[in-house]
Amino acid sequence: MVRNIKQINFSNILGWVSLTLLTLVTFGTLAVVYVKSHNNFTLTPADFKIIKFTTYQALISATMSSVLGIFLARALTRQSFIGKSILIVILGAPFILPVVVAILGLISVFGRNGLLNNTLEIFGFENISIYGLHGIIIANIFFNLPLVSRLLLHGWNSIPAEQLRLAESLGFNKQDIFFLIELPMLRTRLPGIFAVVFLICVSSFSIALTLGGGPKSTTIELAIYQAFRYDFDLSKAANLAMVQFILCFMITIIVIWTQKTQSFQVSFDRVIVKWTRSNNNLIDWIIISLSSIFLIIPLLVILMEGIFSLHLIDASILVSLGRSILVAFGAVIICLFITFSLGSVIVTSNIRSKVRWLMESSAYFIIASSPLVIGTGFFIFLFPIINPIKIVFPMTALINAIMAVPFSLRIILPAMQKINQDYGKLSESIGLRGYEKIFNLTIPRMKREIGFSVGLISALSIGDLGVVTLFSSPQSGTLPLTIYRLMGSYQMDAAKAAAFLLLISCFIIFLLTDRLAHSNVKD
Amino acid sequence: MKKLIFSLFFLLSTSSFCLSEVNTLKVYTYDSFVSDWGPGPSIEKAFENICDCDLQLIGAGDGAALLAKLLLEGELTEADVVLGLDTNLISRAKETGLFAKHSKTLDLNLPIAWDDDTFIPFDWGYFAFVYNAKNISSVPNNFKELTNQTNLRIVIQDPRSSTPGLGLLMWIKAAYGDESNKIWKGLTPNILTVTKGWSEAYGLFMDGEADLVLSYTTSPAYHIIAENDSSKKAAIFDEGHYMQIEVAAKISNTDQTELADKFLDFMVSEKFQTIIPTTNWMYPVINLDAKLDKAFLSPIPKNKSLYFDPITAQETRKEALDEWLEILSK
Repeated sequence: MVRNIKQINFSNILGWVSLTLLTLVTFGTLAVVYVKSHNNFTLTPADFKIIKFTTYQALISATMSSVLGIFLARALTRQSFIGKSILIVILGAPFILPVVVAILGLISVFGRNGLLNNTLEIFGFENISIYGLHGIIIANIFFNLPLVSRLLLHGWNSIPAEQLRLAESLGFNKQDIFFLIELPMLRTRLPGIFAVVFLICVSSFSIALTLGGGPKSTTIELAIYQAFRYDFDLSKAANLAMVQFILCFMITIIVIWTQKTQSFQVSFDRVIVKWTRSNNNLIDWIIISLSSIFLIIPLLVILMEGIFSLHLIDASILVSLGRSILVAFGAVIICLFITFSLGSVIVTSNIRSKVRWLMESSAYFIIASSPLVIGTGFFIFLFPIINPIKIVFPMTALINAIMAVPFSLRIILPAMQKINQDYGKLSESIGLRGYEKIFNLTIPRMKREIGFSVGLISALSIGDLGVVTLFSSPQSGTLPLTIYRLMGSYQMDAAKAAAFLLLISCFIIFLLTDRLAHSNVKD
Repeated sequence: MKKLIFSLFFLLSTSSFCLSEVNTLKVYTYDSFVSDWGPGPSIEKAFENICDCDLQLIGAGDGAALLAKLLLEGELTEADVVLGLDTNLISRAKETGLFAKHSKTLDLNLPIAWDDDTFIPFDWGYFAFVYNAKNISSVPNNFKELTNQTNLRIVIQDPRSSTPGLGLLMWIKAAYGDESNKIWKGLTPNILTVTKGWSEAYGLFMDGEADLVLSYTTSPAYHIIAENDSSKKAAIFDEGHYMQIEVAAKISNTDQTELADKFLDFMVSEKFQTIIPTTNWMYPVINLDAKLDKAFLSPIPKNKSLYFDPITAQETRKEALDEWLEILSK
């Protein structure tokens, strides 16, 4: 009995340690930022324009992604074709795709000398510009259209086949089906999806960094970066970080409020056949083809152009890939530690519900914090003690890990809960608890979820171009940063070669961890 | 395992593998200086021939971002020498206390007398908009004409990260004083994009994305000498052109004092200075006479040369920058 109490405490302690770590990194850095900006909180007219631009571009991007996403998801629901499941898998790719790679691809397609403008020119049309507002919106749609489509596709597939059969027997026409069956589904799902996309667009840093064209198209996150890297004005960075946090916090509350009933889908490849073929074949096909072209061509271009520039990959690019992999490795370890520590406390039955709520919600509230705000806080706090530049990689790994906690917890927690339901009483009766339980019971039964988490965390971390931009020295960048530098010095071919390398590494690591996990599972 | 990871982290984050006994001199500079077609490779070779050392030229963004980078790194900076700030940034740079005074007597050939005790010039030139004569029929003769031709797309650099970008702020202030806001308001519709650095802007211009790019009166010499292409020209403005003097200085707490001094001496020597015109495409700071290629037209006349001394430039900078941010964010 005494031994049991000890065990509970041990697992609880780790839970609290993780919670403290999370709180320190998110709210602790924010407190530092607050103190720093408190003395002198002023926003210039230019700052207000930045805030306005940030919300404006996010609003347009989220609206367009949602509208297009509705059409795409609806078309995909109605039509079935060879390669549909592949297309649905591809719709999941932008989530782990390094932003800087996608940007390079988009520039190749939408840039002044890109495929699209060259085509437009042949037909005598005006060129479109990838820099500034247009480019930012295009890139945001590129990343969020697939997300919206997948989530809505899930919504459409959640409509019970019985309802459709019933509708058929009642003689519903298409309008009836839309208003009585599809619209209610959209009404419950779309607000939450919209809010998530809006949040993603408000805090998209790398897109604004690479495509933003001067003061006219600067987001708050970019302005924080500029306060650091252009002016080294810490109070300005702190002021903007406060604004960014408040904005994201408000949106996050809306997200959580609208999303109570939804869960993060691990994978989706069921092909549903219950929808009767519609007559709107043509429109559906146009939407499916255009979306596929929009989403696939930029990646194909990077793959093709990258292959032809592979000879430009030099030692410094390879070393930066090594750094990225190490950072990702660190991020995976820290993230899994936090996830399991929190998870094992949350699933324990004899814990007060308030504690459970605290652990769970603090993990999910991380999506409100921005890596640049955290980075700013870290810098202000650490600068008098040790120069953060000395510890840029451990710090990047830590921040990447923490940013990935909401995702990994959503993947791992349901599995932990199920194991606890199935084996909880049994393990209790034989005294299997704490980390002994985690290693002997939990982990072996959820290799699939762990594999997926590891793949996701490492892919997110490897492609990250966030906090590392604040601190790294010229010679010590990660691979995404090296690509950004090559773009900045207009060595586009070398940048594309490095992007090819990053893209391949990202997908190999993701598939490898996912595969390895699956191969060990005996179904 | 964890130990291994952390030691690997440490190794990579410091990334200073000392493989040999040779002294290393680290020079932070702007990106285009270290590019393959820039002065970097020849200068590295020439200096290493005489110094018995390893010269590392490290590109750290564009000129103005260099300074913020140093502030960020503070006393811990790896740099021994910083090369690539200009007179507009000298006052701000000195306030940081990171730079060491030099004790050299300099024999320079500059349009102005040089008496700064910390920074040493290594090249100079005039800012100008460069265009492709094949694409533009009516070339603007001043800022007002440029603003009137709304079909002309220009690329400029961000004054917070780039010295040419900052130079343009100073240029317009020097030419128009309090009327500068009118010029900026007129220019805004012409601006295709604002880049972080010179390389990116010039790359966009060369790719045909823009009609004019903010660069130097000496840029066309590159196209004439290196590419045998005389279609790229600098638009000469009747308001005059702002002068940029690019400078370098030693970091005060460097552990390579001697080597840093040696490099600064080398920088104003004939060897270094003969490399500059045809790689960095700027005027040398010493008299090279016939060694300067004829494609380098003689500098514009003195009465058309605009310039703020470092202190005036520092006083003008903040106000001009706020004005620029305000107008361009509309």
